[in-house]
Amino acid sequence: MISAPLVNYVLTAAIRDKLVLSLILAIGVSLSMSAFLGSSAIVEQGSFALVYAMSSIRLLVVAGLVLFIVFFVRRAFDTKEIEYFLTAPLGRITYILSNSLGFSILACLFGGVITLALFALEGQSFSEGHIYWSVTIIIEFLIIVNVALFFSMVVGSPTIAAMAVLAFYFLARLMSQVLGIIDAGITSEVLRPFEILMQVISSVMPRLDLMGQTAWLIYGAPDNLSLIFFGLQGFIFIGLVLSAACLDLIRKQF
Amino acid sequence: MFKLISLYCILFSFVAGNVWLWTDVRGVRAAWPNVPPAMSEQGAKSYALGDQQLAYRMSATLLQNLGENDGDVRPLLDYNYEFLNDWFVMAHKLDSQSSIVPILAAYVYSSVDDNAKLEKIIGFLIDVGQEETGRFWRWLVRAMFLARYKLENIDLTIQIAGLLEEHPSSELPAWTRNLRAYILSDIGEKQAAKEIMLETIKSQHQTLDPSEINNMIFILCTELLDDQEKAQSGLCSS
Repeated sequence: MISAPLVNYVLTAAIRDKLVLSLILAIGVSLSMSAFLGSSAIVEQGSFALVYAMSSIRLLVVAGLVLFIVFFVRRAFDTKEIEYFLTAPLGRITYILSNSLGFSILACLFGGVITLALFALEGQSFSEGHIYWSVTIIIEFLIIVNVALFFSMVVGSPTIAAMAVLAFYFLARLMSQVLGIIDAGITSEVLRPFEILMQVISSVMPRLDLMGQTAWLIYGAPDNLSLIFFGLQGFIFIGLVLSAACLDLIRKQF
Repeated sequence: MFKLISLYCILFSFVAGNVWLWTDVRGVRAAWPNVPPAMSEQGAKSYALGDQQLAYRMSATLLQNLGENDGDVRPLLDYNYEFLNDWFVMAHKLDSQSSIVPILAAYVYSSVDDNAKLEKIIGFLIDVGQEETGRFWRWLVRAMFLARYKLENIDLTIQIAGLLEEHPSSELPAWTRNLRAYILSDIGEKQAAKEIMLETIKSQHQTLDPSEINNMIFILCTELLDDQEKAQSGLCSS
Protein backbone atom coordinates (compact mmCIF):
# COMPACT_ATOMS: atom_id res chain seq x y z
CA MET A 1 0.00 0.00 0.00
CA ILE A 2 3.00 2.29 0.42
CA SER A 3 5.62 2.97 -2.23
CA ALA A 4 8.96 3.70 -0.59
CA PRO A 5 10.44 5.39 -3.72
CA LEU A 6 7.43 7.72 -3.87
CA VAL A 7 7.84 8.64 -0.18
CA ASN A 8 11.50 9.24 -0.88
CA TYR A 9 10.55 11.36 -3.90
CA VAL A 10 8.36 13.60 -1.69
CA LEU A 11 11.12 14.04 0.88
CA THR A 12 13.68 14.77 -1.84
CA ALA A 13 11.33 17.36 -3.32
CA ALA A 14 11.03 19.05 0.08
CA ILE A 15 14.82 19.27 0.33
CA ARG A 16 15.15 20.37 -3.32
CA ASP A 17 12.53 23.10 -2.81
CA LYS A 18 14.59 24.29 0.19
CA LEU A 19 11.48 23.88 2.38
CA VAL A 20 13.44 22.38 5.27
CA LEU A 21 16.18 25.00 5.14
CA SER A 22 13.83 27.97 4.74
CA LEU A 23 11.52 26.83 7.52
CA ILE A 24 14.42 26.22 9.90
CA LEU A 25 15.70 29.72 9.06
CA ALA A 26 12.22 31.16 9.58
CA ILE A 27 12.00 29.38 12.95
CA GLY A 28 15.34 30.95 13.94
CA VAL A 29 14.16 34.43 12.93
CA SER A 30 10.88 33.91 14.74
CA LEU A 31 12.68 32.83 17.92
CA SER A 32 14.90 35.92 17.76
CA MET A 33 11.98 38.28 17.14
CA SER A 34 10.02 36.73 19.98
CA ALA A 35 12.98 37.02 22.36
CA PHE A 36 13.24 40.69 21.39
CA LEU A 37 9.50 41.29 21.84
CA GLY A 38 9.48 39.37 25.13
CA SER A 39 12.41 41.33 26.50
CA SER A 40 10.42 44.54 26.06
CA ALA A 41 7.84 43.39 28.62
CA ILE A 42 8.22 44.95 32.06
CA VAL A 43 7.83 41.60 33.84
CA GLU A 44 7.50 37.90 32.89
CA GLN A 45 9.79 38.40 29.89
CA GLY A 46 10.41 34.66 29.58
CA SER A 47 6.71 33.85 29.38
CA PHE A 48 6.12 36.52 26.75
CA ALA A 49 9.02 35.31 24.59
CA LEU A 50 7.91 31.69 24.90
CA VAL A 51 4.28 32.34 24.02
CA TYR A 52 5.13 34.59 21.07
CA ALA A 53 7.82 32.21 19.78
CA MET A 54 5.76 29.06 19.90
CA SER A 55 2.60 30.69 18.51
CA SER A 56 4.43 32.28 15.58
CA ILE A 57 6.47 29.15 14.78
CA ARG A 58 3.29 27.09 14.78
CA LEU A 59 1.74 29.40 12.17
CA LEU A 60 4.92 29.58 10.11
CA VAL A 61 5.26 25.81 9.88
CA VAL A 62 1.59 25.37 8.97
CA ALA A 63 1.87 28.02 6.22
CA GLY A 64 5.13 26.52 4.91
CA LEU A 65 3.82 22.97 4.81
CA VAL A 66 0.52 23.96 3.21
CA LEU A 67 2.17 26.01 0.45
CA PHE A 68 4.73 23.30 -0.29
CA ILE A 69 2.16 20.50 -0.47
CA VAL A 70 -0.38 22.41 -2.53
CA PHE A 71 2.14 23.58 -5.12
CA PHE A 72 3.93 20.21 -5.17
CA VAL A 73 0.71 18.30 -5.89
CA ARG A 74 -0.65 20.82 -8.39
CA ARG A 75 2.68 20.82 -10.21
CA ALA A 76 2.42 17.03 -10.46
CA PHE A 77 -0.92 17.46 -12.24
CA ASP A 78 0.25 20.32 -14.48
CA THR A 79 3.41 18.53 -15.64
CA LYS A 80 1.54 15.22 -16.09
CA GLU A 81 3.89 13.76 -13.49
CA ILE A 82 0.95 12.08 -11.77
CA GLU A 83 -0.04 10.35 -15.01
CA TYR A 84 3.51 9.13 -15.41
CA PHE A 85 3.44 7.65 -11.89
CA LEU A 86 0.10 6.01 -12.49
CA THR A 87 1.35 4.30 -15.64
CA ALA A 88 3.80 2.43 -13.41
CA PRO A 89 2.47 -0.58 -11.47
CA LEU A 90 1.29 1.72 -8.74
CA GLY A 91 -2.33 1.96 -7.62
CA ARG A 92 -4.07 5.27 -7.12
CA ILE A 93 -4.62 4.50 -3.43
CA THR A 94 -0.91 3.71 -3.09
CA TYR A 95 -0.13 7.05 -4.70
CA ILE A 96 -2.28 8.95 -2.16
CA LEU A 97 -1.05 6.96 0.85
CA SER A 98 2.62 7.29 -0.17
CA ASN A 99 2.27 11.04 -0.63
CA SER A 100 0.43 11.24 2.68
CA LEU A 101 3.22 9.32 4.42
CA GLY A 102 5.88 11.58 2.88
CA PHE A 103 4.05 14.72 3.99
CA SER A 104 3.40 13.21 7.43
CA ILE A 105 7.13 12.52 7.85
CA LEU A 106 7.74 16.20 7.05
CA ALA A 107 5.09 17.21 9.61
CA CYS A 108 6.77 15.04 12.27
CA LEU A 109 10.17 16.42 11.30
CA PHE A 110 9.06 20.01 11.82
CA GLY A 111 7.23 19.02 15.00
CA GLY A 112 10.56 17.59 16.18
CA VAL A 113 12.41 20.79 15.23
CA ILE A 114 9.90 22.86 17.22
CA THR A 115 10.25 20.53 20.20
CA LEU A 116 14.03 20.97 20.00
CA ALA A 117 13.59 24.76 19.87
CA LEU A 118 11.28 24.52 22.87
CA PHE A 119 13.80 22.37 24.69
CA ALA A 120 16.52 24.91 23.89
CA LEU A 121 14.38 27.66 25.40
CA GLU A 122 12.95 25.76 28.33
CA GLY A 123 15.39 22.93 28.88
CA GLN A 124 15.57 23.28 32.64
CA SER A 125 11.84 23.46 33.18
CA PHE A 126 10.81 21.02 30.43
CA SER A 127 7.74 19.34 31.88
CA GLU A 128 4.64 17.34 31.08
CA GLY A 129 2.97 20.51 29.72
CA HIS A 130 5.76 20.94 27.16
CA ILE A 131 5.46 17.31 26.05
CA TYR A 132 1.68 17.59 25.70
CA TRP A 133 2.10 20.79 23.70
CA SER A 134 4.65 19.20 21.35
CA VAL A 135 2.61 16.03 20.80
CA THR A 136 -0.60 17.94 20.05
CA ILE A 137 1.26 20.28 17.70
CA ILE A 138 2.57 17.27 15.77
CA ILE A 139 -1.00 15.91 15.57
CA GLU A 140 -2.15 19.31 14.29
CA PHE A 141 0.58 19.30 11.60
CA LEU A 142 -0.38 15.75 10.59
CA ILE A 143 -4.00 16.80 10.18
CA ILE A 144 -3.06 19.90 8.19
CA VAL A 145 -0.69 18.16 5.76
CA ASN A 146 -3.35 15.59 4.96
CA VAL A 147 -6.01 18.27 4.55
CA ALA A 148 -3.61 20.10 2.21
CA LEU A 149 -3.14 16.89 0.23
CA PHE A 150 -6.90 16.47 -0.04
CA PHE A 151 -7.61 20.04 -1.18
CA SER A 152 -4.75 20.05 -3.67
CA MET A 153 -6.05 16.80 -5.19
CA VAL A 154 -9.61 18.09 -5.41
CA VAL A 155 -9.23 21.79 -6.23
CA GLY A 156 -7.71 22.65 -9.61
CA SER A 157 -6.13 25.98 -8.75
CA PRO A 158 -3.14 25.98 -6.36
CA THR A 159 -4.04 29.48 -5.11
CA ILE A 160 -7.60 28.49 -4.27
CA ALA A 161 -6.45 25.19 -2.76
CA ALA A 162 -3.93 26.98 -0.49
CA MET A 163 -6.54 29.52 0.55
CA ALA A 164 -9.05 26.74 1.24
CA VAL A 165 -6.59 24.88 3.50
CA LEU A 166 -5.70 28.04 5.41
CA ALA A 167 -9.41 28.91 5.75
CA PHE A 168 -9.98 25.40 7.09
CA TYR A 169 -7.11 25.83 9.56
CA PHE A 170 -8.35 29.20 10.84
CA LEU A 171 -11.91 27.94 11.12
CA ALA A 172 -10.77 24.83 13.02
CA ARG A 173 -8.85 27.03 15.45
CA LEU A 174 -11.74 29.47 15.88
CA MET A 175 -14.43 26.83 16.19
CA SER A 176 -14.76 27.20 19.97
CA GLN A 177 -15.46 30.93 19.50
CA VAL A 178 -18.07 30.24 16.84
CA LEU A 179 -19.76 27.57 18.97
CA GLY A 180 -19.53 29.84 22.03
CA ILE A 181 -21.42 32.59 20.19
CA ILE A 182 -24.05 30.10 19.02
CA ASP A 183 -24.46 28.61 22.51
CA ALA A 184 -24.74 32.06 24.07
CA GLY A 185 -27.79 32.65 21.85
CA ILE A 186 -26.82 36.23 21.02
CA THR A 187 -27.44 36.05 17.30
CA SER A 188 -30.70 37.06 15.65
CA GLU A 189 -33.41 34.84 14.17
CA VAL A 190 -32.23 35.76 10.68
CA LEU A 191 -28.92 34.04 11.40
CA ARG A 192 -30.52 30.85 12.72
CA PRO A 193 -29.96 28.88 9.47
CA PHE A 194 -26.26 29.86 9.58
CA GLU A 195 -26.08 28.65 13.17
CA ILE A 196 -27.41 25.26 12.09
CA LEU A 197 -24.97 25.24 9.16
CA MET A 198 -22.05 26.02 11.48
CA GLN A 199 -23.15 23.28 13.90
CA VAL A 200 -23.14 20.80 11.01
CA ILE A 201 -19.72 22.00 9.79
CA SER A 202 -18.30 21.84 13.32
CA SER A 203 -19.37 18.22 13.63
CA VAL A 204 -16.86 17.24 10.94
CA MET A 205 -14.10 19.69 11.88
CA PRO A 206 -11.18 18.81 14.16
CA ARG A 207 -10.93 21.01 17.27
CA LEU A 208 -7.49 22.48 16.64
CA ASP A 209 -8.20 25.20 19.21
CA LEU A 210 -7.91 22.58 21.93
CA MET A 211 -4.43 21.55 20.75
CA GLY A 212 -1.10 23.22 21.46
CA GLN A 213 -2.31 25.79 23.98
CA THR A 214 0.60 27.96 25.05
CA ALA A 215 -0.81 28.19 28.58
CA TRP A 216 0.43 24.60 29.06
CA LEU A 217 4.00 25.83 28.49
CA ILE A 218 3.70 28.27 31.38
CA TYR A 219 1.34 26.66 33.88
CA GLY A 220 1.66 22.99 32.90
CA ALA A 221 -0.94 20.70 31.39
CA PRO A 222 -4.40 20.63 33.00
CA ASP A 223 -5.40 17.45 34.81
CA ASN A 224 -8.24 16.58 32.44
CA LEU A 225 -6.09 16.68 29.30
CA SER A 226 -6.38 13.49 27.25
CA LEU A 227 -3.78 12.69 24.62
CA ILE A 228 -5.94 9.72 23.63
CA PHE A 229 -8.69 12.12 22.53
CA PHE A 230 -6.27 14.15 20.41
CA GLY A 231 -4.70 11.02 18.93
CA LEU A 232 -8.11 9.62 18.11
CA GLN A 233 -9.24 12.89 16.59
CA GLY A 234 -6.13 13.00 14.42
CA PHE A 235 -6.56 9.36 13.34
CA ILE A 236 -10.26 9.74 12.47
CA PHE A 237 -9.89 13.04 10.64
CA ILE A 238 -6.84 11.96 8.66
CA GLY A 239 -8.73 8.79 7.73
CA LEU A 240 -11.67 10.91 6.57
CA VAL A 241 -9.65 13.24 4.30
CA LEU A 242 -7.46 10.46 2.92
CA SER A 243 -10.43 8.30 1.98
CA ALA A 244 -12.06 11.33 0.34
CA ALA A 245 -8.82 12.06 -1.58
CA CYS A 246 -8.59 8.39 -2.67
CA LEU A 247 -12.21 8.42 -3.87
CA ASP A 248 -11.58 11.61 -5.80
CA LEU A 249 -8.45 10.25 -7.51
CA ILE A 250 -10.11 6.93 -8.34
CA ARG A 251 -13.04 8.74 -10.00
CA LYS A 252 -10.76 11.14 -11.85
CA GLN A 253 -10.48 10.70 -15.63
CA PHE A 254 -7.05 11.42 -17.11
CA MET B 1 15.87 56.75 -29.75
CA PHE B 2 12.65 58.79 -29.65
CA LYS B 3 10.86 55.86 -28.03
CA LEU B 4 13.52 55.63 -25.33
CA ILE B 5 13.37 59.37 -24.57
CA SER B 6 9.58 59.17 -24.42
CA LEU B 7 9.80 56.30 -21.93
CA TYR B 8 12.25 58.28 -19.77
CA CYS B 9 9.87 61.25 -19.87
CA ILE B 10 6.97 59.05 -18.76
CA LEU B 11 9.09 57.56 -15.97
CA PHE B 12 10.17 60.97 -14.66
CA SER B 13 6.65 62.36 -14.90
CA PHE B 14 5.46 59.49 -12.65
CA VAL B 15 8.33 60.17 -10.22
CA ALA B 16 7.31 63.85 -10.21
CA GLY B 17 3.71 62.80 -9.63
CA ASN B 18 4.77 60.74 -6.61
CA VAL B 19 6.78 63.67 -5.18
CA TRP B 20 3.81 65.96 -5.70
CA LEU B 21 1.57 63.55 -3.77
CA TRP B 22 4.22 63.31 -1.06
CA THR B 23 4.21 67.12 -0.53
CA ASP B 24 0.47 66.97 -0.08
CA VAL B 25 0.48 64.27 2.64
CA ARG B 26 3.90 64.90 4.23
CA GLY B 27 2.30 66.54 7.29
CA VAL B 28 -0.21 63.76 7.83
CA ARG B 29 0.98 61.44 10.57
CA ALA B 30 -0.53 58.53 12.44
CA ALA B 31 -2.62 60.06 15.21
CA TRP B 32 -3.29 58.27 18.47
CA PRO B 33 -7.01 57.65 18.70
CA ASN B 34 -6.78 57.20 22.51
CA VAL B 35 -7.47 53.90 24.30
CA PRO B 36 -9.76 51.85 22.06
CA PRO B 37 -12.85 50.23 23.57
CA ALA B 38 -11.89 46.87 25.07
CA MET B 39 -12.80 43.85 23.03
CA SER B 40 -14.63 40.92 24.54
CA GLU B 41 -12.84 37.84 25.86
CA GLN B 42 -14.07 35.89 22.84
CA GLY B 43 -12.91 38.63 20.49
CA ALA B 44 -9.43 38.67 22.02
CA LYS B 45 -9.20 34.88 21.71
CA SER B 46 -10.28 35.10 18.08
CA TYR B 47 -7.44 37.51 17.38
CA ALA B 48 -5.06 34.89 18.77
CA LEU B 49 -6.68 32.08 16.75
CA GLY B 50 -8.22 30.52 19.83
CA ASP B 51 -5.06 30.50 21.95
CA GLN B 52 -6.11 32.10 25.24
CA GLN B 53 -2.58 32.60 26.58
CA LEU B 54 -1.46 34.28 23.36
CA ALA B 55 -4.54 36.52 23.56
CA TYR B 56 -3.53 37.46 27.10
CA ARG B 57 0.07 38.24 26.16
CA MET B 58 -1.04 40.28 23.13
CA SER B 59 -3.45 42.28 25.30
CA ALA B 60 -0.74 42.83 27.94
CA THR B 61 1.72 44.02 25.27
CA LEU B 62 -0.92 46.40 23.94
CA LEU B 63 -1.63 47.72 27.45
CA GLN B 64 2.07 48.19 28.11
CA ASN B 65 2.62 50.19 24.92
CA LEU B 66 -0.58 52.24 24.72
CA GLY B 67 0.00 55.88 23.98
CA GLU B 68 3.49 55.40 22.59
CA ASN B 69 2.77 55.73 18.93
CA ASP B 70 5.37 56.41 16.23
CA GLY B 71 7.42 58.74 18.38
CA ASP B 72 4.32 60.37 19.84
CA VAL B 73 4.25 59.76 23.60
CA ARG B 74 1.07 60.85 25.38
CA PRO B 75 0.63 61.82 29.04
CA LEU B 76 -1.53 59.52 31.15
CA LEU B 77 -3.99 62.37 31.65
CA ASP B 78 -5.03 61.99 28.01
CA TYR B 79 -5.94 58.33 28.39
CA ASN B 80 -9.52 57.13 28.56
CA TYR B 81 -9.41 55.28 31.90
CA GLU B 82 -12.94 53.98 31.47
CA PHE B 83 -11.84 51.90 28.49
CA LEU B 84 -8.48 51.17 30.10
CA ASN B 85 -10.24 49.61 33.08
CA ASP B 86 -12.33 47.47 30.70
CA TRP B 87 -9.08 46.26 29.11
CA PHE B 88 -7.63 45.37 32.52
CA VAL B 89 -10.72 43.41 33.48
CA MET B 90 -10.88 41.58 30.14
CA ALA B 91 -7.16 40.74 30.07
CA HIS B 92 -7.18 39.56 33.69
CA LYS B 93 -10.03 37.18 32.86
CA LEU B 94 -7.86 35.61 30.14
CA ASP B 95 -5.14 34.71 32.67
CA SER B 96 -5.92 35.30 36.31
CA GLN B 97 -2.61 33.78 37.48
CA SER B 98 -0.24 36.19 35.76
CA SER B 99 0.74 39.45 37.43
CA ILE B 100 1.56 41.69 34.50
CA VAL B 101 -1.84 43.32 34.14
CA PRO B 102 -2.15 44.21 37.86
CA ILE B 103 1.48 45.42 37.76
CA LEU B 104 0.73 47.70 34.81
CA ALA B 105 -2.31 49.06 36.64
CA ALA B 106 -0.55 49.43 39.99
CA TYR B 107 2.80 50.84 38.93
CA VAL B 108 2.32 52.40 35.48
CA TYR B 109 -1.22 53.68 35.10
CA SER B 110 -1.56 54.65 38.78
CA SER B 111 0.88 57.51 38.16
CA VAL B 112 -1.91 59.63 36.71
CA ASP B 113 -2.63 62.98 38.40
CA ASP B 114 -6.39 62.72 38.21
CA ASN B 115 -8.37 61.36 41.13
CA ALA B 116 -11.30 60.14 39.06
CA LYS B 117 -8.91 58.13 36.87
CA LEU B 118 -6.94 56.89 39.86
CA GLU B 119 -10.16 55.61 41.44
CA LYS B 120 -10.64 53.33 38.43
CA ILE B 121 -7.20 51.82 38.99
CA ILE B 122 -7.81 51.39 42.70
CA GLY B 123 -11.15 49.73 41.93
CA PHE B 124 -9.45 47.23 39.63
CA LEU B 125 -6.72 46.50 42.19
CA ILE B 126 -9.36 45.96 44.90
CA ASP B 127 -11.15 43.42 42.70
CA VAL B 128 -7.93 41.57 41.83
CA GLY B 129 -6.65 41.74 45.41
CA GLN B 130 -9.70 39.96 46.76
CA GLU B 131 -8.95 36.87 44.71
CA GLU B 132 -7.40 33.96 46.56
CA THR B 133 -4.77 33.34 43.85
CA GLY B 134 -1.20 33.16 45.21
CA ARG B 135 -0.05 36.47 46.60
CA PHE B 136 -2.65 38.64 44.92
CA TRP B 137 -3.58 40.10 48.31
CA ARG B 138 -0.64 42.44 47.79
CA TRP B 139 -2.70 44.38 45.24
CA LEU B 140 -5.00 45.33 48.10
CA VAL B 141 -1.97 46.72 49.95
CA ARG B 142 -0.99 48.68 46.84
CA ALA B 143 -4.59 49.93 46.45
CA MET B 144 -4.49 51.00 50.09
CA PHE B 145 -1.25 52.89 49.55
CA LEU B 146 -2.69 54.68 46.52
CA ALA B 147 -5.90 55.52 48.38
CA ARG B 148 -4.01 56.81 51.41
CA TYR B 149 -1.15 58.76 49.87
CA LYS B 150 -2.23 59.64 46.32
CA LEU B 151 -5.98 59.88 46.55
CA GLU B 152 -5.84 60.90 50.25
CA ASN B 153 -9.17 59.21 50.84
CA ILE B 154 -9.12 57.89 54.41
CA ASP B 155 -12.54 56.24 54.25
CA LEU B 156 -11.53 54.23 51.19
CA THR B 157 -8.18 53.37 52.81
CA ILE B 158 -9.90 52.00 55.92
CA GLN B 159 -12.41 50.15 53.74
CA ILE B 160 -9.57 48.42 51.84
CA ALA B 161 -7.81 47.62 55.12
CA GLY B 162 -11.05 45.97 56.23
CA LEU B 163 -10.99 43.83 53.07
CA LEU B 164 -7.44 42.74 53.92
CA GLU B 165 -8.51 41.82 57.44
CA GLU B 166 -11.21 39.57 56.05
CA HIS B 167 -9.20 38.20 53.12
CA PRO B 168 -9.91 34.47 52.59
CA SER B 169 -6.29 33.53 51.85
CA SER B 170 -4.41 31.85 54.67
CA GLU B 171 -1.07 33.06 53.31
CA LEU B 172 -1.47 36.65 54.45
CA PRO B 173 1.19 37.83 56.91
CA ALA B 174 -0.15 39.17 60.17
CA TRP B 175 0.84 42.78 59.47
CA THR B 176 -1.66 42.92 56.62
CA ARG B 177 -4.45 41.99 59.03
CA ASN B 178 -3.45 44.89 61.28
CA LEU B 179 -3.18 47.58 58.65
CA ARG B 180 -6.51 49.08 59.73
CA ALA B 181 -5.05 49.64 63.18
CA TYR B 182 -1.92 51.23 61.75
CA ILE B 183 -3.97 53.56 59.53
CA LEU B 184 -6.19 54.57 62.43
CA SER B 185 -3.10 55.24 64.53
CA ASP B 186 -1.61 57.25 61.68
CA ILE B 187 -4.64 59.52 61.37
CA GLY B 188 -4.89 60.08 65.13
CA GLU B 189 -7.59 57.52 65.89
CA LYS B 190 -5.37 56.14 68.63
CA GLN B 191 -8.17 54.63 70.72
CA ALA B 192 -9.50 52.54 67.82
CA ALA B 193 -6.01 51.49 66.75
CA LYS B 194 -5.12 50.52 70.29
CA GLU B 195 -8.23 48.38 70.70
CA ILE B 196 -7.64 46.55 67.43
CA MET B 197 -4.02 45.76 68.30
CA LEU B 198 -4.75 44.67 71.84
CA GLU B 199 -7.59 42.47 70.60
CA THR B 200 -5.35 40.97 67.91
CA ILE B 201 -2.62 40.14 70.43
CA LYS B 202 -5.15 38.69 72.84
CA SER B 203 -6.99 36.54 70.31
CA GLN B 204 -4.15 35.50 68.03
CA HIS B 205 -1.05 35.37 70.23
CA GLN B 206 -0.77 31.60 69.75
CA THR B 207 -0.89 31.69 65.95
CA LEU B 208 0.95 34.91 65.15
CA ASP B 209 4.63 35.06 64.35
CA PRO B 210 6.55 36.39 67.42
CA SER B 211 8.05 39.17 65.30
CA GLU B 212 4.57 40.37 64.38
CA ILE B 213 3.56 40.41 68.04
CA ASN B 214 6.74 42.27 68.95
CA ASN B 215 6.04 44.82 66.23
CA MET B 216 2.54 45.46 67.56
CA ILE B 217 3.83 45.70 71.13
CA PHE B 218 6.43 48.21 70.00
CA ILE B 219 3.79 50.42 68.34
CA LEU B 220 1.49 50.10 71.34
CA CYS B 221 4.22 50.99 73.80
CA THR B 222 5.80 53.83 71.82
CA GLU B 223 2.78 55.48 70.19
CA LEU B 224 -0.56 54.36 71.54
CA LEU B 225 -0.53 53.57 75.28
CA ASP B 226 -0.14 56.18 78.00
CA ASP B 227 1.91 55.47 81.14
CA GLN B 228 -1.03 54.14 83.15
CA GLU B 229 -2.15 51.82 80.33
CA LYS B 230 1.40 50.60 79.87
CA ALA B 231 1.54 49.61 83.53
CA GLN B 232 -1.88 47.96 83.40
CA SER B 233 -1.25 45.99 80.21
CA GLY B 234 2.05 44.55 81.32
CA LEU B 235 3.21 44.59 77.71
CA CYS B 236 5.83 47.30 78.01
CA SER B 237 7.71 46.07 81.09
CA SER B 238 10.82 45.01 79.18
